[in-house]
Amino acid sequence: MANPKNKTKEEDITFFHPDLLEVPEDSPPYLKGYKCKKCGKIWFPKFVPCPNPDCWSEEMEIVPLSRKGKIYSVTDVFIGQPTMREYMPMSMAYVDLPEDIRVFAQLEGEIGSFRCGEEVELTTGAVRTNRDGKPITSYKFRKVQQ
Amino acid sequence: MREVYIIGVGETPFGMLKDDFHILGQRAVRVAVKDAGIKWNEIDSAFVGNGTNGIVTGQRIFRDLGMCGKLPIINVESACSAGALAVHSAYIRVATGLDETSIGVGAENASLHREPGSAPSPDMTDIEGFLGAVMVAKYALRTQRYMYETGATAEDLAQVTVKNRRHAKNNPFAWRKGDITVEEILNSRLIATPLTLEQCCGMTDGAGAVIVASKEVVKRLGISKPVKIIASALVSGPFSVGPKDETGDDIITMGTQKAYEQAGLGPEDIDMVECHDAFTITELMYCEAMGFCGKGEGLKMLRDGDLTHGGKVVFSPRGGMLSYGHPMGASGAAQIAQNVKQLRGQCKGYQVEGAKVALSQVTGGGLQGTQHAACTTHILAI
Repeated sequence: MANPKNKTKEEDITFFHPDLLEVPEDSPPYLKGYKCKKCGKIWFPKFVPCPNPDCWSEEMEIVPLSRKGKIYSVTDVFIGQPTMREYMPMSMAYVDLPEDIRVFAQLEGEIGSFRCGEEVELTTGAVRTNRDGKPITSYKFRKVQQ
Repeated sequence: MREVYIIGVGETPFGMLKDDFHILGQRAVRVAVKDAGIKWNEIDSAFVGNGTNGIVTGQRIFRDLGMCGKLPIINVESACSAGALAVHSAYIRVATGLDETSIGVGAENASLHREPGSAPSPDMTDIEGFLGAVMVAKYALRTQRYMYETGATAEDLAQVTVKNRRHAKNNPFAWRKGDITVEEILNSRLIATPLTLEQCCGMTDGAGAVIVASKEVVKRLGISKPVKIIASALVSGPFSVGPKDETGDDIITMGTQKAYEQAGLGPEDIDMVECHDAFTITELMYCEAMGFCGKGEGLKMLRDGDLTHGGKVVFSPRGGMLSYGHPMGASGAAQIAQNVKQLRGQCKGYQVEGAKVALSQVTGGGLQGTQHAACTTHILAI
């Protein structure tokens, strides 16, 4: 087993996760889909090889996923893992993207304000606290900004 | 494949217990051996299911019973399905002719090892687990969608807890039991909308043990009315990153269909079911997924009294997980132990009258892209 003393010397992540989320300086953030070059299927998150058992290709290309999606279902969660408690309660949802991808995500906004079928858009924000007590930034969804 | 029978069962009462999993497991094993009327050394192999208590859990149970070194011990894991997986594995060992007698044990102590108030969650390496998808949140999402599609209300869901706690009233092995009102359930602590505390199974502790054997052993023991395993089906969860119908349950439908085929019967032949009622919503969804009614009709079954004594099929006669709580590795084995006792007519005060065929079903594990990682289904008949 790894020595925990050594482990704490390394700083924990504050961004989750460069393979999944792109935050350009001059344009809105987007999620990265992984499109298999052999069978054409788009995956999220990153899978290598392609999980299609008739394919197993290791050649994947990154494709930007739509920033807007529809809430399939949403709940307000009042209990959580210890490193998330300062963010509770919060809304969590399954969001369906047009690329035939369902994403589980935290929602930014008032609890109780989201509905099944509602359109939401991608944003970024703190999703939990890391080992060093610092917030970890990742993707979230929010109401579509007018 | 040979015919396989259950010759002995044991379980501990469930609850927040001070004894660790191996002590609980030993108790269940000793009860099962006594129940079977055999000697310890007549057991050819042992399978032990556990979710969170560490490694070589089976050896920790059997060492202190003096049985280590006398039989192979195989530790199996599939999160919440582990106890049923242990029984399934013991079944396979006898069905294939490798052993005459084998034991499947499920044992878990969660309360001694968990931080109070921490919700069970998929592993941190799972993307949904990392983002906070505790199990109750995932089931709350399914509940919200079910309510959105069917018009079911929180009051409707609470009736599942009312029923199962009532079923458990006289069951000495159940933990939370007896009368509870819809109001009390809805006014209990909100966990994830719309699920309140009394609509969620507790993280309890306990153990169950099931001894399976060949027909020859049954004959030798002179059991006149043995309980037979007419189906023991294990499936893994279909994976896709696209939209799924979260009001249905693909793996449970697969698992029960496979079990029905093995048993050569259908849902209309089942008298009673112990299902994975970890949350109120699951009993309704799984009742539908197992084919006891059409899609969206689970609520009607509940309202019409078809899921209780005197109805079409008694769901959770022992009280289900909503009464027992759900010690991950233990539940699947304890469900089977209870079903055996029901078929033998030994459940005074909570007996399903005339029960001849009993089904138990338990899923296990949360993984992104699957509804559950595993599902184990058993059908027993007398």
